Amino acid sequence: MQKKVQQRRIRKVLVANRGEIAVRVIRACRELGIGTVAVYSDVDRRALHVLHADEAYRLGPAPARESYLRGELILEIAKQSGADAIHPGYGFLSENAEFAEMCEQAGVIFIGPPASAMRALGSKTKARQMADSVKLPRVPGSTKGLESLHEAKRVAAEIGYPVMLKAAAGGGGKGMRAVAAESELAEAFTNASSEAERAFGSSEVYLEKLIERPRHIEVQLLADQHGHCLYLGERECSVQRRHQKVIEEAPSAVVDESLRKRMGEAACKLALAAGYTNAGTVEFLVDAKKNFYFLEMNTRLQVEHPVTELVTGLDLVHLQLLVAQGEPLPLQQKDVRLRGHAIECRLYAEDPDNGFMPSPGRITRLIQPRGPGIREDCGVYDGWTVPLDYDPMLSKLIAFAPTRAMAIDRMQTALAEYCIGGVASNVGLFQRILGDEKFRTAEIDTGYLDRLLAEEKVIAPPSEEELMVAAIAAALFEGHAVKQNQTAAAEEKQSAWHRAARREALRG
Amino acid sequence: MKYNVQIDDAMRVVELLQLDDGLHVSVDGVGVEMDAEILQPGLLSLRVGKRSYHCWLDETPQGRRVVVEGRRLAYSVADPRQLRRGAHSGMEGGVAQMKAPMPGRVVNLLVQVGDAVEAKQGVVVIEAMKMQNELKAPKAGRVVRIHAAAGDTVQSGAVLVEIE
Repeated sequence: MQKKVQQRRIRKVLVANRGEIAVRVIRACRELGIGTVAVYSDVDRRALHVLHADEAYRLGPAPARESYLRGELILEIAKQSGADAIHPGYGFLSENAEFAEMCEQAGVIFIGPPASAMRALGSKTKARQMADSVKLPRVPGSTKGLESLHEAKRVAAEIGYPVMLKAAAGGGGKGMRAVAAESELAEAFTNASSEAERAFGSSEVYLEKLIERPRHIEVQLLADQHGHCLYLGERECSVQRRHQKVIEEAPSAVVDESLRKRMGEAACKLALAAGYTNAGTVEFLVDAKKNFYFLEMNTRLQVEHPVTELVTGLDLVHLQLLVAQGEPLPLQQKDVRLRGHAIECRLYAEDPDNGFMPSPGRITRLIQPRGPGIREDCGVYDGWTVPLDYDPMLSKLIAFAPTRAMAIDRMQTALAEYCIGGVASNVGLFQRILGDEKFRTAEIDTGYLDRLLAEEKVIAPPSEEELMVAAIAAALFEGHAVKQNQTAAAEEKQSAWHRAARREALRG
Repeated sequence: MKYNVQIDDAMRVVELLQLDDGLHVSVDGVGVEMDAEILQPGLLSLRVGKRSYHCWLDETPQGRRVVVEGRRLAYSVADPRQLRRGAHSGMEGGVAQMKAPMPGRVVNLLVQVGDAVEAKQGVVVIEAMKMQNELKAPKAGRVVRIHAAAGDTVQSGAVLVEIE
C-alpha cells in the first residue's frame, strides 16, 4: 500500500521545550541550516535554550500549565514567527495527541508520530490492546482502565499478587504503585488515580502483574512515512529509582544478536501496525530467562537517546527532521551496526544523602569534564538559577568506549572531574553505583538501585593526607574570603573618604 | 592566622603565615612543605610533597564542603568571630523544629499535635519540583506544634512542625 507522501522542506523549527533537550534540538537544526525558535516561561528568560536559539518568545508564568503546556499559544507563535515545524522534545506536549492534531490541521509539521498513532499507542491500555493484536508478548493484566476498586480487586485476584497499578496516560513513574496484597489495594488505587489525575489530567489506571526482578530493556525505533521501520538496537535502563531511570546504557549486557533481532522485529511490527512514524521507543521487561514482555511505547524522542546515537553513529534528531519532511530513511536495517558501549548518567539537582531532596538554586561553580569519549548534553551554566518549577535535571553525562568496562572507567574519571557547586547533585550516587561490583558485572534489574541504597554506605575513610590537604584548603578558602572582605571593606572606607574629600572640595 | 577546621569527623588546627618568602603552613603544629595557588575564589591548586591536588569549595544550602580528588568532605572553620555569632540550630530547649528545606506545597501531614513520633518517622509530605518528599522526624518525641496544613504553600526555612 504505497501512499503518496508529501515532501516539504523544513526551514524553521519551533522547539516547544526547555533545558538540555531544547538545546540539543536547536544544535541539530543549526547543523542542518534550519532556523530555530525558542519559547520560555518567566523563570527561563535566561535559560540556555533561549541563548542558543535564533528567536525566542515568552509564553507566560513559570507553572507548566501557564507556559510550556499552552499548545494553542505555542502554535500561534510558530505561525507568527514563520516556523514550519514544531519539535516537542520529551515531556510537556510531546505525547499530546490533541496538540499533534492541532499542528497537522494548522499545516505545521509536528516532529513526531501522527496523532492517530499516538492515540493508538500513547495510552498504555490501548497500546496493550494493540500488542495483543500483533501477538506481542505483554505483561499479564488488564487492557482497559479499571472502572472501580471492585474491578481492580477482581483483576488482581485473577492475575495474582503482587501487582502493579499504573496510569494509562502515565510516564516518568507517576501514578504507579506496587501492591503486594489485597489489603493494600484500596489505598494504592485511590493514590494512583489521584496522582494520575493531577499529573496527566486522566485518572484512568490499570493493573499489571508484577514481574519479579525484571530488567528494563527498550528498543529504539525510527520509522519514515513510506512504511519503513528500523530498530536501532536496545538500551538497558534497569538502574531506576521510584520508576525513574537513573543510568542508561547501550547495548544491554544480556542481549545477544538473536534476542536483539527478535525484540527489534517485534517492536517494528507494533509500530507499523499503529501507523507510526518518526522516533519512538518500545519498552520491554526482560525476566531472568530472557523472556521479554511488552511494557509500553514512548511516542517521542527519549531522554536517553544519546547512548543509542553513540553506539550506532546516527544522529536521531537529524533523522527525525528528515522523516518529518517526508523523506525516506537513508539507511536499511542491515546498515545499522552497533559499535562500542555507551553509558549515560542523569545529573540532577538533588541530594542523595538527604532523601533525594530536590536542591534548586543558583549554580555557583561548573567545571565540566572533557576528553575522548565524553559527551555532555547540558541545560545549565555557571550563574544559572535552577528553577523549582520543573524537573531538576541539570545535564546528561555520557561516556563512550570500546567496551562496557572501559565506558564505566571513563565515566568514573569524568565524574571525579565534575565540579558543580551551589546546588546539591547526585554525582556521588553515580560514583557509588559505578564502583559497585554488581553494577560492574551487570547483575542489575529494576530493583537493583533500591537494594543498593538500602545497604549501609561503605565509604573508605579519607586518608591522613587527604584530610590534611582538605583542612589546608578549607583554611585557605576561609582566609581568602576574609581577605577579600577586608579588601572590599577597605575600598569602601576609601571611597567614603574620597566622597568626603570631594564634598569638601565642592564646598570650597 | 590559626583556624580550627572540623573536617569530615576530624579536627585539624591549620596555621597560615604569610611571610616575605611566601606562605608558611602548619597542621597541628607540624610544618607542611607545600605551595598553593588560588586560581579563582573557591578554586585551588595545592602541591604537597610530590602530589598535585585540585581542590574546590562547594557551598550549598546544606553546608560547605571541600572537594579533593573528587571526594567531598564537609567542613566548618571555627574562628573567634564565628564562635561569638553562636551556632545556628533548629534544636532549642529540647524542641526540634522541622523546617521546609525548599519552597513547596504541603501535601500531607502524617501527625497531629500530641502524637508521639519515632526518630526518622515520616511527619510531613511536601511537594516541590514535581516530586513528593517525606520529611522525617529529627528525633523521637512528641509533636507540640504544627504550623502548616495540607495545601499550604510554604517558603524555604518555614517552620512546619515542632517536636519536643
